[in-house]
Amino acid sequence: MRALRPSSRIHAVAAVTVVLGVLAAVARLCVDGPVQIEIALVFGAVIALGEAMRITLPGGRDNAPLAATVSLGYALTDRIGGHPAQWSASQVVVVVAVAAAVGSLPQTLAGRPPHVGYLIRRVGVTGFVACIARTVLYAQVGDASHQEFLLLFSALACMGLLLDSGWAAVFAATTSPPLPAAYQAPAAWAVPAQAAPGTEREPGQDPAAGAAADTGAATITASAAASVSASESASERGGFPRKLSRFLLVWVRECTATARICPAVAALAVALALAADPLGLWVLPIAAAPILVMQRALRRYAAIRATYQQTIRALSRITDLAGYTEPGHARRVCRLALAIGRDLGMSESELLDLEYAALLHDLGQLSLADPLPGGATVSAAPAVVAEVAARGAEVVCETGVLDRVARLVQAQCLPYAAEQQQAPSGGAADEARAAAVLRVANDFEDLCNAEPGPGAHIAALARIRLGDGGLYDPQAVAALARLVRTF
Amino acid sequence: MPQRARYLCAAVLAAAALTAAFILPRTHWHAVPRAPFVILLSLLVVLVLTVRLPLLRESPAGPAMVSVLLASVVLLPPGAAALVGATASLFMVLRRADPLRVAFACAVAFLAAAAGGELYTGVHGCRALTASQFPAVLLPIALAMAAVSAVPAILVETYLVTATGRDRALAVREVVLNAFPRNVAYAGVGLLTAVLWSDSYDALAALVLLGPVVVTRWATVQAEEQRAAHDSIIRTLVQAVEIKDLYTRGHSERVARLTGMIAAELRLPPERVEVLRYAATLHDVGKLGVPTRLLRKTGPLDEAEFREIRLHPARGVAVVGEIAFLDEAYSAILYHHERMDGSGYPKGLRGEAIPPFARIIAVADAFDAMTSTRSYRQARSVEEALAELRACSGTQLDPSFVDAIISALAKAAAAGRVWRGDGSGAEPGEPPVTAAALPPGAVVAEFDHDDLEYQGPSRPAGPAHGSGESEAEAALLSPEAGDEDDAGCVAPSARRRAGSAAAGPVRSATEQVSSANSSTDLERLSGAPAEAFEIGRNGHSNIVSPGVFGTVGAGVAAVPGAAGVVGTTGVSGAVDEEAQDAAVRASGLSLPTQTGHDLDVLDPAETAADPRESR
Repeated sequence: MRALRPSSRIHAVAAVTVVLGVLAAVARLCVDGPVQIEIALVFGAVIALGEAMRITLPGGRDNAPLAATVSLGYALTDRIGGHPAQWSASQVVVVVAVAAAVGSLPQTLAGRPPHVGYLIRRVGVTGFVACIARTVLYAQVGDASHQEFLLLFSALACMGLLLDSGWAAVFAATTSPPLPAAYQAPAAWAVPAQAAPGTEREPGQDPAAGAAADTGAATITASAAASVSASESASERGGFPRKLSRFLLVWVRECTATARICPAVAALAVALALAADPLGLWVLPIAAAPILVMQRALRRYAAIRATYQQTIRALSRITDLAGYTEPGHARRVCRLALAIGRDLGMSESELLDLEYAALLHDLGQLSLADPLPGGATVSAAPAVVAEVAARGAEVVCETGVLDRVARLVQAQCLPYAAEQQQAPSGGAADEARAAAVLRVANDFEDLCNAEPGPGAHIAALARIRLGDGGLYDPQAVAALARLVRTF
Repeated sequence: MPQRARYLCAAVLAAAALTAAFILPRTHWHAVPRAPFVILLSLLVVLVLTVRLPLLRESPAGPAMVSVLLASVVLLPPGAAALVGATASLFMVLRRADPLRVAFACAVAFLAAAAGGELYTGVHGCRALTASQFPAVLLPIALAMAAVSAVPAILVETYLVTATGRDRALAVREVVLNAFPRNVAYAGVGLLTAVLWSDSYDALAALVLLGPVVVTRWATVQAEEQRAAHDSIIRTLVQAVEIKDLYTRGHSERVARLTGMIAAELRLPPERVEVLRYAATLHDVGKLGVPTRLLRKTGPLDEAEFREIRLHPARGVAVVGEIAFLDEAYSAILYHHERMDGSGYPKGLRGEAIPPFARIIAVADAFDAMTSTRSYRQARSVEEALAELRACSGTQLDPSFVDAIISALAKAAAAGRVWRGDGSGAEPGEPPVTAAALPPGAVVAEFDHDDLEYQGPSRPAGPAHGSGESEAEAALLSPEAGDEDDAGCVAPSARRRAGSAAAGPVRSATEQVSSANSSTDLERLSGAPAEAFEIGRNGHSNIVSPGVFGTVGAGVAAVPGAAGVVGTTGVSGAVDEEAQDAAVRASGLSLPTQTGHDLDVLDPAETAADPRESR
């Protein structure tokens, strides 16, 4: 049930508002009494069915096109089967809320509860559209022509869907989006040395050496902590404009991510609302059929894409299995690189490329006859590192579908300064940044692995900062520092 | 295009022409509403021009067209509706489609719209669609929907059956479960449009058509692309991995093709075929976890080493264990070395207890191991290999799957696609699985765990352990070389010489050897490495480079010297060891301890021969 728990203050506020709204609607409905109950039940059933068939699109977005279309249609319908549709906005809210709750049950029981933000959006947006349509619009433009109605409804539906993605953006901007489940292995990363215990500090080791190491670590810890706090204050200096621009960026991203589905949902919702007049309830199966086909295509797409990611994740273990890298190295690097990339505000497609590149970044090590010590490229000779990167990129490139990933794998060995000279602007600059992030993440992970212990990540961060002279992207290092603070 | 497909096209075209001759004159063209005609036609043209063509199944009257066709059937007289479909399909010419296919698509669209229109007017009696007629008018509309959906679905699948030899049962399944319901659903969008249009929303109603059509096309295209990408990434990465192994270049790919052929022969449903092919592609991925030392070892393996090899199926499952859709593939990968009589590994499962996919992969695996070249023997012919499979069926392999591969190969050969060891001939248009040019400096692999003959340390098969192609080696190793039934064990020292000397360019290695050794040794050696190297050059043998992708570090120059040293050390003690070996051979025992000892000697030398060390 973790997903049902609100994960930020805005979530909580929105949830409380929506719940209060639903309660108010229920109270209002109790006073007025429900009307056209059979129609409400049929619509509610289809909405519940749509919720039960909810799909998760790439990027972890929950989507239920059928439920969205039918609930918008229910909110907009003016006449049905030749009779006026008399239900009020509060009835719409209640029907949609109850149907969404009922429809979410099967998936929740199967262990896939909807995100709380998703339910808030479904009920909130439908309620908003219903309020405007049923209380304001019909009173004002009751005598508009059919075509005017169609345009008005379309505008309203589009507005509702923009609002929907806006809310999604608010939630996404205020909470850190969940990492893919495959990277959420607890504690695997916080103490990376767990994978190979006892390699570094045996119980019988010289205590004096241990103490010296401890004091050394303490000094480094202090300096690293100071730099962490410095970078932190620098990052939070942005204030409201920065937050706003970030929000707008996320909103645009949400809109583009759903740009294919939203117009279809809007068009069908409007068609459903208008065709309900001549067709009556027949409109529901006729409109639902194409949505179901659409949903099946989307589901297949999402499934194949998930399989694709799983395959790359699985194949990233090849170097572990072959004994070239520490177990789980690629995943830890991937997790860290994604976190840094998110912190730097990289776009979704960039993050996807970064994810694949991080998973496959050590593939070139298979070309080495002997594994590097600890699988760490950080302490290897630059020529070897370049060779590993080049060979890995060669293989990735050969797939013919991961060209950008191949370029990232190739560029991971370049020092940041050199990369900046080579790739000054545009898409190349984005790639250079991603490669720099990959490099920082990989080296940090290698360093943590090389010297395990409780303060390993602080020490590793300090070493990355020391070796900073043009080697690492300062922004990525700053982001890493912010992350290290949370470990 | 096969002759039968041409006949079908001609028949469909003739039917369309006849229908046109019947319908078009009856149409009162002045009464055709202009706006729907023009708008629906242009919408359809846009769809034809933007929707992707490559998939034959989608191109003529795809689902997107069905929705527009239904709208025109309801809004226009039959002749006009049919003309809309046919005219729009003509625009496929602009996308450089095959003219015959364009004609076929036009005919299909024409027939579908004409059938739908005639049914609709025939049952309904009039064209006008008003609110008062619902729901009575739904019956003629439903009939029209069925006709508009079924005609293209059936005709296109028939075409696929005749043109590409698609399985009939599959085609029927596709029509009933997939194409027809999908077309009906799309027709629903057309119906909504038509209803709104006739309910005085006019042309604006056409907007409704676009949304779902665009989304579904987009999602389908994306899914196809992702699937292709997925295929390609699995293939490429597995190939990259294969180079680490001794002999398996292209092996996984060929086994995947063979299992595909067997699956086609068994008429498995497509989803299972897909999983099976992935399983076959990935079946040896666990061999990565086998230490390189063992994979490059040039002697027979002792019990402990063979145990390592036996772990590779489990390791493979460890890699693919997270790929969720491969459920059935896990067991296939895990048990692909089980044998019907229970003598396989890892579990010693017997008969039906072995998962069917594992049995299929085992057959394909054995067949490919025999028909591709190994360092210790030439590739066998398909007939020999099949005879061997038959001999092993029942004891090691499942007879029914052996029968399946035999008839699949026979069918392919009858169709002019003879299986060759390089994997060409599996499916039309598939190129041979060729390995990249081999880099200089290679170590000859000397065993292949997939070979049916290779029984592990307890019963080392004779030819598996020498450079069987080399006459000098054969002389040295006689009498057992070349006959699989001979269980004699080959002298490790000789093997080591052959293997290590081949690690470097031939001449320098032999020169080094000649300077340090007796002339008899030189005689024995001079043929072997040269031969081995030649095999290495031809591209399909079991030669592995020191590095996966060839040369890591520019250490090639260092190889000859190092390899020569190996050869020297190997040969120096050869006489004594040979005597020992001969004694053991005579007693019919293998030499596990001896081998282990050899390994110790060999290992540092091999390391020294590694070009990376000199960097």
